[in-house]
Amino acid sequence: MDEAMTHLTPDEERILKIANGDRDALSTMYLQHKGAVFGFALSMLHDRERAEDVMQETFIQLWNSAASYIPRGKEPLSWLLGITKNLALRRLRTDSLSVSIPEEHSDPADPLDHYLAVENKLILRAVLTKLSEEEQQIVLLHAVSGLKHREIADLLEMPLSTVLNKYRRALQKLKKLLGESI
Amino acid sequence: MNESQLNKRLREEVEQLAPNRLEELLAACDAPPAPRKDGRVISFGQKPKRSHWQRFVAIAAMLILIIGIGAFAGVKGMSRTVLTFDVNPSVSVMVNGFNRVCRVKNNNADAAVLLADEDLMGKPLSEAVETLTEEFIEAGYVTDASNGILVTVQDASDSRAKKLQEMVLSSVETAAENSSLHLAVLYQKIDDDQSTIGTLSAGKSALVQTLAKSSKDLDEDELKNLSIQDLLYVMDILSAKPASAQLTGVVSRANYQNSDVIAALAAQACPADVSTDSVTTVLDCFDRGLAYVANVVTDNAEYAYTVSATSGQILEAVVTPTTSPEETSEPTPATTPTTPDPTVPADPAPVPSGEPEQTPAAEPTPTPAEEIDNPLSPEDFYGKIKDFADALDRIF
Repeated sequence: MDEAMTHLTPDEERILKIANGDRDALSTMYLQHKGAVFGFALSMLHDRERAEDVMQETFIQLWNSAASYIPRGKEPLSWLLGITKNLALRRLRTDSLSVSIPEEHSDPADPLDHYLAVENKLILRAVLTKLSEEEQQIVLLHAVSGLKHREIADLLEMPLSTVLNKYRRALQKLKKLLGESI
Repeated sequence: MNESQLNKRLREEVEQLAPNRLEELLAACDAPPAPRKDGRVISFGQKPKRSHWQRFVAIAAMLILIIGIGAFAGVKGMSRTVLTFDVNPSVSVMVNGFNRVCRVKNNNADAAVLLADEDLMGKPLSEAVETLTEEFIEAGYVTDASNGILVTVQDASDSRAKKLQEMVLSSVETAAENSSLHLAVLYQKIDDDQSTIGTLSAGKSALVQTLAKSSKDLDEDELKNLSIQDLLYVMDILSAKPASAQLTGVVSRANYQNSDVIAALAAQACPADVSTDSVTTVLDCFDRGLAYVANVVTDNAEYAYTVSATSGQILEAVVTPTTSPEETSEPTPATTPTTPDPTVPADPAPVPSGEPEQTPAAEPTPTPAEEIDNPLSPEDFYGKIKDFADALDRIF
């Protein structure tokens, strides 16, 4: 599509700059979206270090593949999180022999659980330990990344209704769990 | 807490937890991006940062790999095996565990001349063997008639010796095929502390010792002067292959007279009327060459002819009377001339014709009547006895 005829979002403009080797644009994108990328990676990997690795890899790939991005006049965060998803899935495949992903992290000895407790990340801890994997992803994508439910549905390849139901169920769980703490 | 507040709180917590590794990212991006191909980037350009445990595992794995490779290379490199190739030139090559030549030693002057322009160092064994064989052939040391090569391996386990044998034989065969030759390779494994005879290689020494033990007529001092082809011929005739050796191919006999021809030559040379069947032949050495000793026994004398195993020339003839000393007027052990017999063809299967020069028939045995007419004095009788004893010494 001809760029001159497309209204570019600020992030799309940054990606075009990144494609031309603009490191400042990359830095801006990184600082702006690292939380969203990290949170999504964390919801898939349940491991802080691996989530950090995937976060870094995501932005390295953004740097290397920015030229392949086709502007559509929409926020490119879904596209960026798509990279994150693919990298996280690849990491899960390569680590499949040594890493298991339980549905719920109720074990207090879990390193992630312990870390979050120390850091006093109560809500995040509740999300990662009490919600199902899909619920975690949906909640984090919506709350942290700011994606709309339809975008989440596209990204996770789920029906929109499923995303909505899971999101509402997750919120109810969190409110119930955190009601007394907050 | 409503939904909006919960989401805001969650976002803040994640943002706090997400590390800021921008500098590391920018450093990683310093590497040039991979070129685009059909609109797709096919690599990250730089390996991403690994987590701590992954780094530890990677470093540990690398150390194990390095140590393993080092140990493997060290063991392989330290493992040395010596292969000696004897034709007449004698060359020893030392190969390491990777079967590459790490040392070359010329065991005699012929080898030094032959390999003056060849550098076998560092070559794979197979290539070195092929080169050596080609040099042997081009220089004429190995031919169809003289087709024997002795290969000796030292400092090798049985399994390694076996593997090297396959490699050596394959290379020799390749070189021989290029020259349309049919070679005979005796591949033997000998002890690391094999003793050597004089300046002979350990391999040739071992073969000489084996053959000497297999024959009561041949000893080390005689055998050591023979060529490799002669030794292989002796081994073949005596069926005396060393226990630790394998012979590949057929040892050529084209340069040698067979025992039937030798017997015919001796029968013809004998003044008495004898048949070939009455001649016995024994493989022996004479004047640094291979020879047969053909024995003919008649009523009056025993004739011993030394015949060259290669040319069929009668090299020596000894006649010993079989009559009692009292009846013997002139014991006549006689030696044949050293001039070649022109009637003996160089053909591998010659048909003898004519008389050898100075046969014992020139000195007839005295009859008992003549001895009666000419009684011996005690001094003459004592002299006759001494001559007879000397003749016996020469025979036995």
